[in-house]
Amino acid sequence: MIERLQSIDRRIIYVLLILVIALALLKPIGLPVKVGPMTKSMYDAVDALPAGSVLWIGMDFNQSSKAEQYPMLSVILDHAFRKNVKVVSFAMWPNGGQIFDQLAAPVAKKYNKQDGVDYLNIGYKPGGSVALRAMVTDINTAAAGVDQNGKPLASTPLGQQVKKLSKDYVGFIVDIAAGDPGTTDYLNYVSTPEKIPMATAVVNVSVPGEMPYVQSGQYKGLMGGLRGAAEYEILARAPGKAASGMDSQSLGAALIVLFIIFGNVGYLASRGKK
Amino acid sequence: MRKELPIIVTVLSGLVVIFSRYFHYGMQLGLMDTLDKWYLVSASFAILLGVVNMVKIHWGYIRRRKEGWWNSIVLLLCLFGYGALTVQQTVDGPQAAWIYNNLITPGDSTMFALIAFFISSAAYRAFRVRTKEATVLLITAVIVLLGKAPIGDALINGWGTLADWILKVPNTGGFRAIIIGAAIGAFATGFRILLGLERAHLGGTGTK
Repeated sequence: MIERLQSIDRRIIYVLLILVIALALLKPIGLPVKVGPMTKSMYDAVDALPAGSVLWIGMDFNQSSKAEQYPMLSVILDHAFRKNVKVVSFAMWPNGGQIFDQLAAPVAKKYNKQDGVDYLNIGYKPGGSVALRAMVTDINTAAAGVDQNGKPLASTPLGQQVKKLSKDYVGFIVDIAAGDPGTTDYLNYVSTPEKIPMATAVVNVSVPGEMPYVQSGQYKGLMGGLRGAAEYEILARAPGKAASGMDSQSLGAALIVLFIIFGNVGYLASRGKK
Repeated sequence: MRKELPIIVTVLSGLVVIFSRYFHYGMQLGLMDTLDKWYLVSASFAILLGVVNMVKIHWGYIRRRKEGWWNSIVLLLCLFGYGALTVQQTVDGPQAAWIYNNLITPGDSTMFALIAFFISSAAYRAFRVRTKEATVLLITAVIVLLGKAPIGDALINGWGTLADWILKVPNTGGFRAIIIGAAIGAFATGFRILLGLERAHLGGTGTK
């Protein structure tokens, strides 16, 4: 009987997982979220930017990682606009520019910020890391002179102000990335040679791979997955979707561990019989 | 010349990059900027090339009535239909934005979300205490899984700190080794390409 615990039908796991996740979303239990040092140092770095300075946001993800990365962008924008920091975004992923437009609009409205004046969406430009490197020399040329919506960059105050992706024009970089091209390109071609401090906001699965760069100090901080976004929301006092998803993540993880235990109890029981 | 010419172009490009990156005079000439601009133009054409290639492949499927050929019709209709729509009204136009927000975004998110279910099932089946190594893997997975969610610290105070230690110490050590190994591999491959020994980028068997 106990041996059967090692061969539970996967459909039972699926149903229980969706039930647990849905239940935690509908009836939150409010488990406390401790803020980790990596998110804290990223928050501190953005918080230290003086009003009027420029925060560069890399939009290197698409809608598939919406659950984790939309809250990341929203909370960073909220923080930057509240501090009157100007934001310039550039996407190496085709949908990045459109996602930025979508998420920036409500936050900009909240803080009465204007497109082209307080924030600028250069949008997606083909070429990946080479397009990024070209931004270091001249943004206008690298972006073919236009922003995400075809508006000439030179016609906007922020487009005229930020001519290069260099230390003279950009105070800090946050790359929100879900893969390649992404954070490593910023590290290799922009942050290190141009000496612009940067942090990264990545999906949970990418966190282990980014850790060496956090330890070496090349990233001034890291926002890892939904948990990282929730920690940033707590620090920025802007509770959003990430914080409300923490209970679901906790219970989902607990359920998986429970099934792993069941599987091993069944396995050990069957081995004992043999 | 079908093979020689691409090799000559590759070697020359590589030498220009080395000259521009490692020599002061090369840096002053600004050849890298020129090469970058050429690359950007080529990359833009590559998108067009990708579309032409995709149309060619799927048109072939439709003509030969290959199994699932109707999927190819849907793909081509979406490709040209959505393309025409965005050209007519830009990506933020009412219909284009509606399709993006209500079909592409939820569809893409759903595909990604499905991974959670597969991972749950895979974790249940794979994490067994069969060997000492598998047991270490299992214990590590459980510590990090619960430690990176708020429930870890809610169960035992300090659980999250233990998970962070695993990420910062053993994980970082392992990843550094991988990064250094990959960098040496990339250097060796680059050197082989410059010498014309590596030919995988030209198609065929790849090595000489």
